[in-house]
Amino acid sequence: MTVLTTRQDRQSSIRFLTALTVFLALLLALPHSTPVFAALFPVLDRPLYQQQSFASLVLAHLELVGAATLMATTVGVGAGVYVTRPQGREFRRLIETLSAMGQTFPPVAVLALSVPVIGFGFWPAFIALALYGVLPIAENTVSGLEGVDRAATEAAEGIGMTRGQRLLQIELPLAAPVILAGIRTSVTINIGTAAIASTVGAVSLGSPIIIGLNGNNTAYILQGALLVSGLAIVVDMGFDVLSRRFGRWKVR
Amino acid sequence: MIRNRSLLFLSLVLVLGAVALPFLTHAPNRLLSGQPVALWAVTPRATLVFLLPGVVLIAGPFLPQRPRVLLILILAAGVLLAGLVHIAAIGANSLAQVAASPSARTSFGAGFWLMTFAAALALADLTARAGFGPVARVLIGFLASLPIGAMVASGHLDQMSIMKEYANKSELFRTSLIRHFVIVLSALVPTLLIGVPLGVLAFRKARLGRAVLSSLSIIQTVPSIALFGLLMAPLSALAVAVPVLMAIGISGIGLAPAVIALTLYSLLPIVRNTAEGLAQVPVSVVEAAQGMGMTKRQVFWQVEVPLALKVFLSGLRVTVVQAIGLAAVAALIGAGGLGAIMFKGLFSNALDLVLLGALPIIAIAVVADALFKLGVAMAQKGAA
Amino acid sequence: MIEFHQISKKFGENTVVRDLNLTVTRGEFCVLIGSSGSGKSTILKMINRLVEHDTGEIRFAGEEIRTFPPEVLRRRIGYAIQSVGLFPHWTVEANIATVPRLLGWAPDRIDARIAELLHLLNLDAARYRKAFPHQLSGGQQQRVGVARALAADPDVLLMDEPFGALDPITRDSLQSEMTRIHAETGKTIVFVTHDMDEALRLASRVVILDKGHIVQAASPRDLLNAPANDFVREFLGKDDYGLKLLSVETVAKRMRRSIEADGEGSVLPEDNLRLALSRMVALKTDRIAVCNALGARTGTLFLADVVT
Repeated sequence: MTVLTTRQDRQSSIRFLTALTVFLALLLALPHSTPVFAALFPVLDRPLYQQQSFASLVLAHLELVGAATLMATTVGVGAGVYVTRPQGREFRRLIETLSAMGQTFPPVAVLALSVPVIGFGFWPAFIALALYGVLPIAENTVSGLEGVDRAATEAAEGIGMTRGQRLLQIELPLAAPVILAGIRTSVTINIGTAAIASTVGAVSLGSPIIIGLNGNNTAYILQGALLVSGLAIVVDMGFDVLSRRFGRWKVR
Repeated sequence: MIRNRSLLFLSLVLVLGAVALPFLTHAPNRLLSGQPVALWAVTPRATLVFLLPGVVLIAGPFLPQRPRVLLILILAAGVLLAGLVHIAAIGANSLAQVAASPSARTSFGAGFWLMTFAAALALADLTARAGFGPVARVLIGFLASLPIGAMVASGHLDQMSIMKEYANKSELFRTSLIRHFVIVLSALVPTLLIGVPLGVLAFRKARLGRAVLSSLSIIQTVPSIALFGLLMAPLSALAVAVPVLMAIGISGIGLAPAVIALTLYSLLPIVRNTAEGLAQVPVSVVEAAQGMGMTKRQVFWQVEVPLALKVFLSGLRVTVVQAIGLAAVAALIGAGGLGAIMFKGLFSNALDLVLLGALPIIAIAVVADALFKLGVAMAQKGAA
Repeated sequence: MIEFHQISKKFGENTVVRDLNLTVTRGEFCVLIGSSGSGKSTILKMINRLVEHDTGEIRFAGEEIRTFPPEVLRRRIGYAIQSVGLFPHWTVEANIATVPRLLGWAPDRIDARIAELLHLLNLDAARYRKAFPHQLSGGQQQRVGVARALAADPDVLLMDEPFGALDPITRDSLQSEMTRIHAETGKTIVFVTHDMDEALRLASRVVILDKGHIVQAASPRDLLNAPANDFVREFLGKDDYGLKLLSVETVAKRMRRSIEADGEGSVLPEDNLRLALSRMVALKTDRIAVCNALGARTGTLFLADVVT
């Protein structure tokens, strides 16, 4: 009666752990793979990216995406909650309008535009990613909260929970799967945009790719591309495991 | 009594932008950074007249939100939008007259951007509040952009640094613009040719559909620059091995990897929305049609396709908007397009080039999105 | 226990409750009944301030309800609704433990209380304690809903058409449960329904409402024997009025001590006469044995005694 993990849940966890292992193995092997790339690209005299360690690039990428997502989640969930309370209902349309607008702006253009406004470096990239990431999270928070079973919130009010207790113990946990889906979307886009962030001066896994493109070094490009694709896939699978855990109580 | 808090919020943002942030920035040449120019430093008379709609908008939240009032506010927002661009143009013109040298640069300041963004949002919010349908909203947006387009076309804004940059590079801009369309459209053809039949198949055979969709989903999580990068090595190796490919222009860089990657990215929304569009056609309608004696083919083309159209078109809209953005990234692998101008600006620290590339990309995406929404809304009306 | 003094309530232009005066005494099973729009749910919700009354005063255990914050009031009152509203992301035991946790009870005490309530509501603890709501049937969910309402041992239980969404068999079973729970715990219950049979079966006092005011308030027997006007008579139902009268009388009242008729079938002394009549018709007999719960024969019920 109480075992709620389905076979797909277990498969999802296995897939995630496998992908993570492969990625970590790749990360460990890459610094020692000079002979492989030298063989593939005999023309190049520098077949392995050496300017920063691959591990530090992964960390820089995660830092950028992580910080931006944290900011975007705080602002997005906050805005979503505010707009579904009686005091904030008037602003709901504004959030919808902003969301629709935001979805048509290509993320790379938003990233580029942060430079004339702020300059080069980590901060313009951070702000562009955070701004772009707020919208799917806010939108999903709104739809998640609005989709919560009305009977449950009525009962919660009737048996004596305060508004705050209702929000934290009932509404948000029940909306969590949808909110998480919004965060997942936001993170996926941000990992991709962060890969281009070195064009605005931020360090990320895109740095070897951009440097490789500028200097015609296909090996650099491959190394960067492999790592960032691997990271993106591992993170997405991680979200899949998380979303299954959050949605355990649902009818499936 | 505050009757429209979102407008009040936006009006406050407008005032903030006017008072606290520079409206324009002016630098004597390209190398030095710009000095802030406040809104009131621009010709007083023009400022006053064109800021009147701003005052109307600030008063707006306190008025009863009746239809007539809302219409006036919408008009005010539209006029303000055009007015801000006009004031910027006048400011640039007057600064150019007193400038020491012809290489002096006037650019839009943070205040200008904030104010135009707030005015545009106010316009969108007010039209939604007034209850206009999607078709009307697109038309209002189009009308609001007309005066701005006219100002750009007539050369009124030519003293702005971005227009000077355009004047310098107008040929490059033209070819990049065309190239951008070429990239997107070249990818759209194989996407539709492969994606639509695949979507129909995914709908008919659920298990195959799930497998197809999950593999395409994995591609979606791969960052675009990485996919471009991963395609480059094998494609260039292929081009070297098969020289005839090199002759027709397929190589590791440029159009070929761009179109292939864009196609791969565009397949997911097309396949998924084709399948979902067909899936949401009510079974009872299909059965009724079959019962009337229509053949499978007739049922498909005359019943299922028209009813699935709306969902499909909405997927096509997402695909096209996504493709416009991806094409911008493709500039990094030598595919050209507006992204090339944008990245050139980033790499050489020429911020006006960045604007010259990025703004049109956004404009094209917004226009494409609006046109698709219009199309869907009109198809709805036709069907209903 | 609960007193309504001159209560009125308007929703916009619509006066839903008008000059209502009602006292619910301790230990009573008070059923509010009326058609849609009669104000019965509104009146119920005014007790726990889910709806605020416009005029007048409502007292709970002697105190005016506005003297406490709404949440404090609601934690002293059990509340069960038709859609149940169990929290889908919490197990059965977490759901039941909601108010005790809000009140800061010790974990052991909460644990013991959950076990007690599952037993009271006839739910197998081993199977259901850690189940999630979606794994339960509608009837089981409502049992958990009632358990949750009773968890903090409130003096008053409010129930808003709790069995309306259930199938007849489950509804019947839960109605029996409620009667038993009321007898065992002695709590004051205010119960809203639109089903007259349910009201007559459960209530110690029935309050009939029409457009926001009380038409008649009386025990089921008094109601049936002396309906105040035609409206009440209509409500009681013209066609099966006689059968309803039988349903509020027990076998014990009409049986005789003599032992006669050794046919099949029997009834318990506490069964109602409507059931007894039904059995007699089915068995084609004019008399039926009366046996107690242990099976020992205590007398006979004659059809003539039922009818006259």
